[in-house]
Amino acid sequence: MRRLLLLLAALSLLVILAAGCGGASQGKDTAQGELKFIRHNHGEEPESIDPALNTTVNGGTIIIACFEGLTSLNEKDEPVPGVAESWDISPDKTKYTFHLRKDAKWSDGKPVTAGDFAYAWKRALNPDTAAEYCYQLFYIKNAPEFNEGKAKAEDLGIKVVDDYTLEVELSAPTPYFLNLTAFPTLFPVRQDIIEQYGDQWTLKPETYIGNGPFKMTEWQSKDHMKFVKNENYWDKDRVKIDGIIETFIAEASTMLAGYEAGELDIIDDVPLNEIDNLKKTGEFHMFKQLGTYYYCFNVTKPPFDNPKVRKAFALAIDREDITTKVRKSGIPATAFVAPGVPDTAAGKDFREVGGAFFPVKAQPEEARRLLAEAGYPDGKGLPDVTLIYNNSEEHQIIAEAILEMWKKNLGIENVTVQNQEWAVFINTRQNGDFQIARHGWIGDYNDAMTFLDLFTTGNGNNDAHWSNKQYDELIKQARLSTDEKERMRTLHQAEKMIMEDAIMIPILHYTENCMIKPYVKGLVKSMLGFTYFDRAEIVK
Amino acid sequence: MLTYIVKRLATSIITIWLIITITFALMHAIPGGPFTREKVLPEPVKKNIEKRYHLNDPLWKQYIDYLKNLARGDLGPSFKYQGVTVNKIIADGFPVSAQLGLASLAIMLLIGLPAGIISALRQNKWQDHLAMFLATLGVAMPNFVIATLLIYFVGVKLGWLPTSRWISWKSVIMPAIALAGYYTAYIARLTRSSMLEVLQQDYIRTARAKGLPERVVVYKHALKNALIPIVTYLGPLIAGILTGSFVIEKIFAIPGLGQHFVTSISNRDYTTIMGVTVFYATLLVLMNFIVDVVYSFIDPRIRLGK
Repeated sequence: MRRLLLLLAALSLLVILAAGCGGASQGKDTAQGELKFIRHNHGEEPESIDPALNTTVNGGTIIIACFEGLTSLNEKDEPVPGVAESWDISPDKTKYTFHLRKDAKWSDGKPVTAGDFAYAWKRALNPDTAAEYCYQLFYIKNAPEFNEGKAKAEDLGIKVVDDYTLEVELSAPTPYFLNLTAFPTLFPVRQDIIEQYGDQWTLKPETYIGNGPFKMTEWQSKDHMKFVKNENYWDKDRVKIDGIIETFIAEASTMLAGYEAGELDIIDDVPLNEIDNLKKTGEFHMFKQLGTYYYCFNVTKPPFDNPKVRKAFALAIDREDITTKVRKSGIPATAFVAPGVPDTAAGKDFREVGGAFFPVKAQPEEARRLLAEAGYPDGKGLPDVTLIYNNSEEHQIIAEAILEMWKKNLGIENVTVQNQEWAVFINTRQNGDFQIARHGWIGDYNDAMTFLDLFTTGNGNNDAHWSNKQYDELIKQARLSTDEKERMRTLHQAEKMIMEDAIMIPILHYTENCMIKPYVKGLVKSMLGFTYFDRAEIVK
Repeated sequence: MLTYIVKRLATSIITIWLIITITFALMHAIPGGPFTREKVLPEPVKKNIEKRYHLNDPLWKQYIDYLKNLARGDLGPSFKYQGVTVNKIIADGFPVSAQLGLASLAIMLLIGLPAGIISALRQNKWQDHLAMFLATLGVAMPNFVIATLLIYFVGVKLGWLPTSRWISWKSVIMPAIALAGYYTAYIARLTRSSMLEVLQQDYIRTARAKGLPERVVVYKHALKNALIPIVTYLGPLIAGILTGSFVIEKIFAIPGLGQHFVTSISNRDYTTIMGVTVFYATLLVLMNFIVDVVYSFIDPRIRLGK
């Protein structure tokens, strides 16, 4: 028996030593060493880092580090020249001619040409590629038809004039098209690489050829990725750091421990209950995101087929309490379109021009009055109400707080909350088997349209099941308009309609809650959620 | 012995086939699919994706195709990770989970067994009370509490060990301890009660009467028989612990297999759900078989195949 124990002891030692062999040695790459690497926690490992196939914001951060589109976004999320040095737009605003810079190169030294973009876009739209985000290219002439197999690749409004000139024809004027060309789905990819390596090309550093400021040198599955400065990047002088290490820690408390122990420089998520303490460190940053957290009514079912009841429920919520005391982050939402979206006609923020439709603080008297007017004085006769949300600590604490606000401010008792597993929840919500459901929307591009076309009749994301011909007409007008003033006026009018009809309750606008070490400078966070490292520095 | 093995193999295959069939049916019965998104996909885009992954085939065809591919050892592509096969997910994750599992198994046995033996031999003395107090604590304290305490004190405050991830031999220590906590305590209790029972049996009295040294009585005669319930417990435990723990892997951000048992379901990543289930089922059936064989070595009264 003793021999057995000895054997076990020896075995366990061996195991512990052997375990060490699996890991990579990154000790020297820390910010303290000679090389300046930023250690950023990425969160869950990306599902795909193929520009066409990526669907996540996190995956986008990696693609943006390794690739560059025709345009790129500056710190205000405005399009600036990327691979394209300049562009001409036709008077009817449906034809874009991009002039590519001649010094843009791939990470293996080959030149970036107009053909690379044409190939990438056709690939993303090809039904065989089955790219989820291909709808970002649906503005191009015949693109939806091609994706559905009803048109040929030659019919697409994409024309390679010469190696450095790309002509794009759109089906309608799209004022935010230059924002879209800075979106990962529209980044160029290499035909020769993809044809040779198929769907494996993104998995190995040797074949993950990009044209961006960094290139991948290491990918240890489920643990980390490593990137170094791309010496072939045309604007490499802009890049001040030697590289990035992206780690895949998914749990917020674990990231925070890593950050506090000095193993990480940037984390993009923190446990909500730690925020008050973290704010005192001076290293806590809240970045505005182009998104709205809201509760959606099913407007086809009583009692929420009555706008007065909907409005009463919306006015009974104290948004400030939610952002300061419950979630401890976020911006109180007084309307659907998030702040940061520009009103291009006024040169101001869309939100500033549109104003607030819901109060920041609760208005219990007004809410009760509306409820009484709707035929439910003091909630008498109101059918049982259930709010559904998907399993998550964040959604739970917000739902419970709001439930209390409804009970207190409306004087009703028969409201309950119910949580559901995520995919079940999405199913329930899409089928309309609910009264009130949690919802969230993050914009795909920086324009009010990304929010407002949601509530058109038959839109797959219109879970309110609301339908209004006048609204559909307004959105259609805005899509076709070539006059920015006219377009903005229509969009404001559309927003006003859904807000006055209170088909949903805006609760808060998302923020990304980060901890950033003070020696990291020049980091840019896009409102679409992407992190840009190309101007970042480590200053100690 | 040979007929026994053949019989066992046949029942094992049927067991695994039943598991596959039931998992397949259940998985498709739950609402939502691998491409259920907060942002709904346009219908044609969704159709393209379903076609690519053969999700538009009738269910019976998908089932037959799955069995055919499985027979060739092909577990299919992951629906979540682009270009990654389920075979690769298991090949990447299992070694990590297994290393961690073996390390924590070593801790369990090196601490749990001796603690149980000492408790039994010193019944109702302070050694027994101390060991059983610690064992109760170990059983009662969930592993994520141990993990969080370790990360905070040893990782952040003292800075002795990395707080998470799988980067060097040091990365094994904290998760292995957190994972072993409960099982160590349980094994200690099991060993103690089993030893106490065996020590009261007639043949032990005979051994003592013959004048055998206490050491021989305890280690050679008593412990061998007392091990039977522990071996029974260890069989499925080993299968479970080698395939990883969701909680521990999540807290320590360990790239193991355990997380896939849970995340594949919430992602409705059908092929991964099937793949990890088949893998775990096979390992479990195998471990149970080994346990049965080991019985016959420990206790000659147990004969296989009868």
